[in-house]
Amino acid sequence: MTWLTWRQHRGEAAAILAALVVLGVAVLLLTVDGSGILTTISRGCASGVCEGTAGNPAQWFESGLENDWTLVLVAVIALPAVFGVFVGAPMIARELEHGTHLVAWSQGVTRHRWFVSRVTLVALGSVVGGAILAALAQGWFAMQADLGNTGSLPIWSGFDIAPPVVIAYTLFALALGAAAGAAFRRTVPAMVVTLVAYIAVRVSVVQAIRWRYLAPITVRWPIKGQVNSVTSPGPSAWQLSSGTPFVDAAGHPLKTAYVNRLITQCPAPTASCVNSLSRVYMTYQYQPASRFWLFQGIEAAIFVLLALALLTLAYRLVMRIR
Amino acid sequence: MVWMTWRQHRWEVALGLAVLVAFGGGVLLLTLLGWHLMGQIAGACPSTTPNPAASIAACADSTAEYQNGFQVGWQWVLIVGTAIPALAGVFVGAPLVARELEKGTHLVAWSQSVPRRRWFLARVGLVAGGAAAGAALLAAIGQGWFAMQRGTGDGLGGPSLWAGFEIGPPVVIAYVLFALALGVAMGAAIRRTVPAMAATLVGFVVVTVAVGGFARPHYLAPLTSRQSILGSFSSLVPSGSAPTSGPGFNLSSDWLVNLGIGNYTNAAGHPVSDATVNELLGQCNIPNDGGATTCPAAANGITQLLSYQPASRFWLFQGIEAAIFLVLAGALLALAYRLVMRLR
Repeated sequence: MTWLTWRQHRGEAAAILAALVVLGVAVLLLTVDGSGILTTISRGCASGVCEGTAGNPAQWFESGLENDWTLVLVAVIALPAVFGVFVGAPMIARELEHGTHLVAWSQGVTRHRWFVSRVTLVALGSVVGGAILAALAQGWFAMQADLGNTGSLPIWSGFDIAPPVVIAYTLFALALGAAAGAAFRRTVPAMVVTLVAYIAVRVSVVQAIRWRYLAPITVRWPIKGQVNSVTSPGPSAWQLSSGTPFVDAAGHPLKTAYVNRLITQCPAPTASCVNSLSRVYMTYQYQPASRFWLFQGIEAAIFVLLALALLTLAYRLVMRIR
Repeated sequence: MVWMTWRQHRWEVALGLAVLVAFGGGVLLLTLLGWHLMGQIAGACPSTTPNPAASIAACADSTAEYQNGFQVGWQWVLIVGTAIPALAGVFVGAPLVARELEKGTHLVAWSQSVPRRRWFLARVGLVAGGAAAGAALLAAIGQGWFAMQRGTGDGLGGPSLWAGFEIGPPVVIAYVLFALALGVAMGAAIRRTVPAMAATLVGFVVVTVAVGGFARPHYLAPLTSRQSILGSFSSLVPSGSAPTSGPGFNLSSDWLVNLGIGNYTNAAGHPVSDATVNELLGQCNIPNDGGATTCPAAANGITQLLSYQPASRFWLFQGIEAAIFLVLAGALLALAYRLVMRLR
């Protein structure tokens, strides 16, 4: 079965290898290019000017390389989905659609072995590919982090391209494709379903679930106090946009219009005025940079568990085929 | 053949309609909401004379609501808008011929006195017509959304004119037809569904990125504008990498093709090296108390050469790019037709 799986999938393996090589060369070139510019920037900053002047290399770095970087970022985010659609979905569906699985099953290969060896080998290959992909992206991310506070991307903006989650996404996409293939038994519909479901799950996790892995840290201060004294979470924190920036002493949200009315009715700092304003607090929530790798672990675990559940489903579906 | 093509593709039609209704309807709804919010902003926000404080609060509220809800939405519309042609090529175009050839079902039609020519033309013509109609409808809705976003102006950070190039109706229709033709040609050449789909995806991404990145800036020679390296940059511009305005140049409607770094000349017109410029700028004195920045006198006359495409060329460029992709689509369909006629 190992030999058969390899023979059936060597074209895919070659295509994926080629894609990784192209992407890898692109990222390496960008990294080398970027380091050169970074050297110029650090020289320029040493002489006193880093920001706000025309012809600044930091701006050059952003305008010239940011576009290329967006392409790489999109590629790293899209590749797991492409993998699930073009490798995961046909892996089972194509065999069932063409009836070629019967050849293996009627030659003393049990369904169990047929399924397990096929899925294990392809999953192994996908994990290796995902790891290489993520390592490449991480190299770039570390390089541009050297820009420091003036121009580098905050750590949380690289969440979707960090190694643990990229590997987990790849496994999940593969399992999703296998399950869709076993359920639909037709290649093209299984591919469409895989793509749609992958995007739906990824987007809903990013939008609705990720920021809740641990309760965010809430900062609150009275609006009549000194704004300067408020501690900022720093540029490396992931600041969450809350619905309203104003709350009362109990933490209940207040309407912005209400607070504005309080302020405008209060031109002079009379006692009653200060009293009413002292019950109003400003607030925001954030996840600190120290939780980055913990969150990576949590998200990776979620997607690996989802992948295992989907593979179990696919296995049961294949065992029940008659 | 019309009946058979319809029967074979009715699920794709249903899926396409579902996407159209969900995405198009959503965008349409957001467009109307956006216009409504902008009306509120225009009514509440002071233009020149100071308004009552309550009105300023309402202005800040609707402005924040608009920016929170719609600037993120803009990215999504752009991403989905550019992805739709690729999806049409991969999931509709590539299986159109490849699936029949892979399973041998084309022989059923051919052996029942349907000539290959009619088989090919009916199936490709009907699917391409349907896809082009769907694309035109979506592009029109997208254009309404873009007009609403542009209507916000610079104050609310609306997108620049050229940022919406890839969702302009002429090019969207041309992209969809090109993607379909590419899928059909790949299917006829490879004759296997999944490899044809993968080849279509790769081919589409490579061609569109190459045309957008390398060919598009050069459809017409860019105009140039000389800008002083001092004082023409504003911190209000996102990423601070482009001049806001200058002689003949307008950031919100023109497309800055080349920032002009490495293209410095002094007052006498002689070229100046990057190192010299960096060194001069390094000697600028930026006072901490917010006073005016002072730079060495030698930096005063130095200018950089920007090249840009003006807003007036937008629709001309749309036409050129649409024509390129339509010609490519025609060539690919001719290739696919020849391949199908030569099958044995």
